[in-house]
Amino acid sequence: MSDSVLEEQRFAPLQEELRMDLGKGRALRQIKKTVIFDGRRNFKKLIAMILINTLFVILFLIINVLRDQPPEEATDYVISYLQFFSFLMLITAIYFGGSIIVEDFEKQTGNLLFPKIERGRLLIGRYVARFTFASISLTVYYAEVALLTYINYETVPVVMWESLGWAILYLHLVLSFVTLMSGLLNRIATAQVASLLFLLMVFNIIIQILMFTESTIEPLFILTYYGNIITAWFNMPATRYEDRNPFGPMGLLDRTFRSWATPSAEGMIIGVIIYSTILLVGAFLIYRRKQAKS
Amino acid sequence: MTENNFTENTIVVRFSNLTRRFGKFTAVSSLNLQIHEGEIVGLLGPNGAGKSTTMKMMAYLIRPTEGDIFIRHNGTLERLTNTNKDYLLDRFGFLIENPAFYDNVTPRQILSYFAELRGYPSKLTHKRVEDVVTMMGLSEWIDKKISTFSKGMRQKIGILSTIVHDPQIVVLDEPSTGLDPKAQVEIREFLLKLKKMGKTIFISSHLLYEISEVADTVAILNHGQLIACDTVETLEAKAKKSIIQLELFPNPNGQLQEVTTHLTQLVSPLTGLESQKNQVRYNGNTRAFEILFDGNPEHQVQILKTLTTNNFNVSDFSVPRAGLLEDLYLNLIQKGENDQNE
Ligand SMILES: Nc1ncnc2c1ncn2[C@@H]1O[C@H](COP(=O)(O)OP(=O)(O)O)[C@@H](O)[C@H]1O
Ligand SMILES: [Mg+2]
Repeated sequence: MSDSVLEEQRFAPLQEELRMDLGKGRALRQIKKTVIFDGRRNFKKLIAMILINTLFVILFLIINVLRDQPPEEATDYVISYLQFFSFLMLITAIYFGGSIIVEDFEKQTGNLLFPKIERGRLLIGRYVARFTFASISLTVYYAEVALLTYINYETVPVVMWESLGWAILYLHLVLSFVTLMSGLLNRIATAQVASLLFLLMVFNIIIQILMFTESTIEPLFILTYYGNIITAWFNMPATRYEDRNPFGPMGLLDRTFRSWATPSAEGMIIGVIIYSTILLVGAFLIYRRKQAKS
Repeated sequence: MTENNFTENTIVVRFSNLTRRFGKFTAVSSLNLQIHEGEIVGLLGPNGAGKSTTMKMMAYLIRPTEGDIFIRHNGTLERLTNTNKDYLLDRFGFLIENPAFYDNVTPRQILSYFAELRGYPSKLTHKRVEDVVTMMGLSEWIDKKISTFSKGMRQKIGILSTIVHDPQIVVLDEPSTGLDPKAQVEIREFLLKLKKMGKTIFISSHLLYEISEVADTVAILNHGQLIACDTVETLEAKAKKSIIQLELFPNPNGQLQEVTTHLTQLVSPLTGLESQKNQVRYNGNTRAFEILFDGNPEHQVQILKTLTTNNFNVSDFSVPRAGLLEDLYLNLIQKGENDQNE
């Protein structure tokens, strides 16, 4: 048989009836494939993040070993590992999420993808993949801390796993925010830096300003406020807020400033769901309209 | 292959008054064009002509400002909209502009993903991916990370990503721009293989030869407007001008400028062309002078006589066929420029 005959047989055209379902079935299939593909693509990042987390755990372990008196309670020991945790979470979310939308435009990969899949499905698939990876890396952190706690105290406080639950919920919120930033900006690096600036500074500045206007409303619109529950959960019921009158004792000013410490469990759940939905819908709408700069 | 037995029923894509504006700027202006089943249509035009914009509208990456795109589905031409694009575009493969590739994956991974996104049956995907990679001659690389690939190899994977789900219509935007000559030839051969399989191909380029070597029909686009659209043969016939290719011995390397001016003075009155501009030029690639004339053999003879009486050592004096189209292309584009300026 000649080569061309072989080739012809091999490349008999696909019978169109065999093409997989249109409609809903296809959407789910495409999302599933995207989760797998995006997962594969980001697997190295997962390994890297787990290593970074482990370094942090080791750092706190060293600090604990050097301390004269280890905490008496297992919970306090766990908490000692969570001091930087909200920062670590921001890094995790930004690391996994910074590129989620903008990469298609920065590298023009959108030109390959968008004719093949609806952007909404692509976004869902990627979000699921990255959220899963980010959650895994946070869980590994907790697991390592749990292991150390078990070695030292022969017990692992259950409350720790509840705290992890809050952390994962909060992660969803932060990742939604990073997704929106990834839609708004034109480079992966700027999306990451801008996210970090917002999460570390801008929200805090707004909180300060609010405090000094003597506002007493709970700052449920401040994204980073929700992160407080992760550690506060170990000492429930936590103080929700504190009224301070820093100038009172000096008799200079009669002003009280309310500083909010922790959201309630209900406030957290409802707040995060509403907040992240708004962020993600916003990100999707931007993504759908966004075009590559030529 | 093209016996032009095209009818209304063989149209697979039709652009109807397709227009795209960016603000006040019109990138594509009332484009009317049809693509028939099994045909290779070349979209030829200089940078900024609106080629990519046209193809992006086809891929539904951007919406037309006015006009429509019709695509054949189950025997009828359907207007491309947001609701039907998912299945209408199943039969298409697109490679538009120069998308970077995901570095951290292998051709097998990315091609499987693309095939399945477009509904290629899961069970057959594995074999299909291996087949197309082999067809492109990259089977050794199928499981290597794309980050290690050369530019030409990436582009080949890009082309494979457009055909891996076995579409009927393949749309390629400047597929070999920026590649080395070897890769360019390989890609051209690949396109001809696809044509043999009966695929319809819509390819753009700013280089004439990239198009004329493969296309049955050439559509020339300039400033968003279609300025010519016909078979390669008809376009050549339409070209009233011809080119004389002239080689001198020894080649006057050092004094190209002077020789060109001298030739222009001698030859201009004899070419039968009105415009006296740029009638003689030196082509560095062929190392030959090119003289434009009206194609009249009598003028050709006169020019040769004049050259020999003026002591030019003519080592080659010919009228190559490919030159005609090249000149037509330049001519049409230049005409477009003038129209714009008026
Ligand atoms: N998103 C955009 N915004 C503004 N102008 C654009 C945009 N995309 C393309 N253009 C302009 O439209 C014209 C045609 O562009 P394009 O279709 O990319 O040309 P080609 O592919 O033929 O080189 C160019 O002048 C380009 O600057
Ligand atoms: Mg272009």
